[in-house]
Amino acid sequence: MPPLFPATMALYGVSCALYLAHLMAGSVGLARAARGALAAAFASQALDIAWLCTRGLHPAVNAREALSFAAWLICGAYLLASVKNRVPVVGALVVPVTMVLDVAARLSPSREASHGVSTLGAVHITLATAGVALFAVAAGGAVIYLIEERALKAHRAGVLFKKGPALETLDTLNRRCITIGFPLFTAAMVLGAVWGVQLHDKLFTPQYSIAVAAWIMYAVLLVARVTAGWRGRRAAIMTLGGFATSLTVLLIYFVRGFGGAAL
Amino acid sequence: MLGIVGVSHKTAPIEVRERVAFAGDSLAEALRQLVAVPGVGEAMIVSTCNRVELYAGVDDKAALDSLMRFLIDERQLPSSLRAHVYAHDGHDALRHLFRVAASLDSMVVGESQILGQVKDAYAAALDAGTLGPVLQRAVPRAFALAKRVRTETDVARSSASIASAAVDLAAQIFGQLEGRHVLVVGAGKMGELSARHLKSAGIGELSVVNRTHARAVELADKLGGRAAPWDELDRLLGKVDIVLCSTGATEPVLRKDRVAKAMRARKGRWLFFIDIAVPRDVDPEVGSVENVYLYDVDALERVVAQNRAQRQNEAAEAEAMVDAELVRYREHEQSLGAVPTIKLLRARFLEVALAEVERIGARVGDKERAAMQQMAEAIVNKLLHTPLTKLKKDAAEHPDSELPSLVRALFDLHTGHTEEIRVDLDGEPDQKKAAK
Repeated sequence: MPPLFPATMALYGVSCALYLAHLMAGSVGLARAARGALAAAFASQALDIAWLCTRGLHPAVNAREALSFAAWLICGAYLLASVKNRVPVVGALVVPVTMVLDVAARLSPSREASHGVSTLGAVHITLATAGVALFAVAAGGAVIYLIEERALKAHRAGVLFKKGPALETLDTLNRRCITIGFPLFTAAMVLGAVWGVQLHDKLFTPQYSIAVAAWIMYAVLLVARVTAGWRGRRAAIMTLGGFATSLTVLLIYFVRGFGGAAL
Repeated sequence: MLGIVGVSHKTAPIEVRERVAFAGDSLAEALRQLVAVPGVGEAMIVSTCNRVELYAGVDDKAALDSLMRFLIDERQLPSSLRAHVYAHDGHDALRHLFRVAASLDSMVVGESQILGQVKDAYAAALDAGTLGPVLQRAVPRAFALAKRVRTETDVARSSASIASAAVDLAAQIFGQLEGRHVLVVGAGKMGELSARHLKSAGIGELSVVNRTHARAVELADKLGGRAAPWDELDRLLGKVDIVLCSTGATEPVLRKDRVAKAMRARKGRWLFFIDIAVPRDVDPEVGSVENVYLYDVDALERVVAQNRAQRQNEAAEAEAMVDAELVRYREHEQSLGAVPTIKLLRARFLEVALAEVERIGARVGDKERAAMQQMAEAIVNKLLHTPLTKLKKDAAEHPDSELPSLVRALFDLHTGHTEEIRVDLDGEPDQKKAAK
């Protein structure tokens, strides 16, 4: 177990409790404190990842570490996104997910040899995980958007009505996360193709085909946003579709293990 | 004790409240007359559109009656209107003050104006020199409680009028309203009022269209906006963020196909319709267009009703805070009953200690004598800390306790000991005088 894992979990727990308290009480101070605790948890986990690197291991060396690494990147993506968009409701969704991923990572067995990933593979995995982490934050925002939008259309004033961010803010969060995540994911796809050919002499493995489908969905969304004004509800649904598809790729890896397999 | 006499929206119609109200320029004179009433030592007047109340430190029930007579005579109320006037004293008065400041007694529970109005009344009484210990203790406690109620409950968080609900909804869609463009369709009075509300919420640009262009120009001038011809409506629908409709048309002015066309021109940007016209100006089908949000009067009323119900729920929590504060305040007031004994005991101890310092200090230098004096005072404070704390606690819990008189008997304390020593309310001695 990484040395700072208990401290990291404790900080995530504090952040999660503060975000939930913010949802109940609506205090801006609580949201700020929650964000501070989350930043501390992120830094603590970063030290653990650095510790792993000093032992010559890539942070996503196997499925277990990849899960933990993805959790860390999701947390980082949220912190990055929240610099410009104060969306603590999304934080209240993202932090518990991060905690569950981290705990699941610790509880799952480590099956892979620690030195089995080439440099190309390591870069590919890092970029792919970072891209999916940003898509995860976009998906979190999309879920909240759809709930809020439905309440507004139906003239109902739910909990999120008063404490959630504005629809336009959530849509901006969505656009920013996908605009940054998409190039990372694209680079990961290209490197994954090269890595896959090196390893298996073939490009279209099942998971690569699914990843291509996810990539197409995000590409269509980005283009349609500019050309056809796809925003709001339509963008949120497309984001969730793209995320579900990219998550399927990660789940395949998690179930089968990396086993030296590239995208 | 605290006494209150007055009328409010709960007991009197506007005609009576108008008659009783004190104008700003007559307030200082009224305050001075009030403290001249027998048994009334201090006074403050809260006079708003929803309540006129005299707050005073009164000696007894008879003084409260005098306060009532003052209000009736001063405002020349006929006997038929006297039933509208209420009076509270002691604990009930304190509860009333706390509830008023916390906006729990307001017409719209949780509205924010009342706290400022009570603060203004307190400042006016301070300027007129009519405040005394009762009001100076109770009113600031009411301010602190009101602040806690506002920050710790949701009682003031939701909008309670159609216009403010519309502003909240717009903020829920767009976030910041600064720089947003509002189109007012129709030049009716209701539209004007709602547009003013949006304007005060910080919107950027405002356009007005009306079938009679001259009225559009008139309203645009009033609101600081721009009038546009009626046939520019479609073009403006493609530009603006919020559309406020209040025409007198008997058929819907805006139908689904017209709005859907505008949405294509807008590339899906959100559009919020506030339709306060009856009959409605916007066909209900418009609400089904993607990224369009339509609220008519009924929908806005429903939001307001939900908010009001929520405010009532939150008010129960705020009432519990008032009760808790009343208990704390009563304990504090009762603990003040031990203050004379505390003053005497501290004075006796200081007297003995400082006399010893003086006796021995004659043989040493000034510097050493000052150090000895400090040490003597520190020893007295430490020795007395526990017994004084227990005395205060005992007085707070048992108003009829005999402990203070026992302490006086034990240490042979009588008022002569404090005559030369000025001690503040909490029993802290003025050390320079004590040193004499």
